[in-house]
Amino acid sequence: MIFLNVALKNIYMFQDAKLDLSYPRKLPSSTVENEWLEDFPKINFKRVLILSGANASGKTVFGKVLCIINNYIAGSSINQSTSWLDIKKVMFDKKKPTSFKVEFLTPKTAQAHKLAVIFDQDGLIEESYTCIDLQRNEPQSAMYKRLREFEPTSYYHKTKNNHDITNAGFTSVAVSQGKMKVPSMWNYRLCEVDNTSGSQGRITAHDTNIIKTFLSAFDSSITKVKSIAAESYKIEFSNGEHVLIDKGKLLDPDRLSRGTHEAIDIAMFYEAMKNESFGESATFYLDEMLAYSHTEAEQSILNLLIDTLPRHSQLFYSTHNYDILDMNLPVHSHVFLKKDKYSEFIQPEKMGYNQNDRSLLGYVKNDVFGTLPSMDAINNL
Amino acid sequence: MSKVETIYFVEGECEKNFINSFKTNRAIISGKVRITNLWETANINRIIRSLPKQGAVIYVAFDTDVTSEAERFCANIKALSKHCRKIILLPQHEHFEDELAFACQQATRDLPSYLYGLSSLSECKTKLAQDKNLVSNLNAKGFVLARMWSRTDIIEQLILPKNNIQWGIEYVLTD
Repeated sequence: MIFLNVALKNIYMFQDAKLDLSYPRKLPSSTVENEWLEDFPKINFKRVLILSGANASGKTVFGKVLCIINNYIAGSSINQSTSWLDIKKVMFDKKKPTSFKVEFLTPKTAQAHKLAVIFDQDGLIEESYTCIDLQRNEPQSAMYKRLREFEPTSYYHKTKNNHDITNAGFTSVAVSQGKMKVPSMWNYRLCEVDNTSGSQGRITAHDTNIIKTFLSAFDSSITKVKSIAAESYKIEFSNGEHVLIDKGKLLDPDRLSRGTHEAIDIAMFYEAMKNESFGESATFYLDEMLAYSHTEAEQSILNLLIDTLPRHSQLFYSTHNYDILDMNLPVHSHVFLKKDKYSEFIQPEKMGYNQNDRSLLGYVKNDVFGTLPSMDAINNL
Repeated sequence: MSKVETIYFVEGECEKNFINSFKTNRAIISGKVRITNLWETANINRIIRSLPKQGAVIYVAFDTDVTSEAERFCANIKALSKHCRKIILLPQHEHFEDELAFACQQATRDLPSYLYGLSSLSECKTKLAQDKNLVSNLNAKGFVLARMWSRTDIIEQLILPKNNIQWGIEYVLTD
């Protein structure tokens, strides 16, 4: 599935946040290829989104929210009390309803979808799901108009129209009634939380050559990576020492530099992206996983991921690195997260900063978007 | 030092070591060195994405032994030229080793023994890629830097845009 619009209310620090993942006109020589549907060439979507912003501005939690939405669309409960996939925990004001609205595409079925959901602490209050078939030469604006005005394919309201379901909990009624069948694949690598990938896309047998290539680029003393069991590897060094990765976990993390340690995760993320089991349409979210890497390494890896990204997939990549802003990417590939009282998305192309030959770096350094952290308190200590 | 980024695209480890050695010696303009073969690069966007939007000066050292992909090479140079301040092309007659032999005023077949007392070219290439004292070793052998990349007679075979593109060693040498 391909996200076109995401709107969030009362989730984490997002009170009324909207993110547009489509764009109006194709760029003549974009460095991110194929940002449209080949059979519906007027439907443009962003394949790459670089999220930047101050600390605690919402980059990681946006990943969590998007993953919650992925899970919901796939029919899973989003009240998993043992994990962070629990919308009850992240309602900002627990007395008020929480909602999300997403519009998305499924290229395989050639359809556009709209899903609007409202919860309270007891579960689903309202769910409206609409699905339309795409039309070959229909302009994007006309497609949106149809999608937003079309009669819902499935509608649930806890009191007015509940299909005899007295409490739907935190699971989609449209999915349980077979009205919403959306192939949803994802791979989220969020900093400091347990990571998750779509259940059908989990990789257990990694390519040791890929891991070795990544690791030796970070640490030239690494000479070999051997597979010893499922998800378990032996990393050998030029001085004869070794460390073990046991079921994806590094047993002696102190032996590797922090950046090299991160490279293991990145290698696996890259491999997942290449893996056919993810199909061609998935959501990939890499959250500050290269924070300890050299800026050149981060640029090269991001570049590789963009190159590897399947045709109908989206890559969300969050970073603090200024040099990423100076890469030759379309302006619409950048979004800034800003938090004053609440978190919001700042999309520079919607503010008139849409000249693709200009770097956003100068604007950001001059705080044009108001996204720099306020360090006055520290500066005045 | 200028704030404008300088990037060298070269085809192999020998050129990489050569440029890294001579830039450290301040004989040529400093810059990042990346190994990329623009005769073979099918997706130039991957390279363009990595270029700074603020503009860069790009040097391209390239072999000329096989020119069957000249169309692709020219298209890649043309695409790069739209995303940088200027491109300086550094053509190598046949390979880097031939260019180096010319700068040492030797025949290519004599280069291994002349430089390192070796008999095979492949051993010589391995040594060239790893030589930590390349500058002093070459200078001791009568190497003339100004002869490197100085033969630009391949120009006629390549149809390239005129804007932003220059040829030859003089743009690489520091004052």
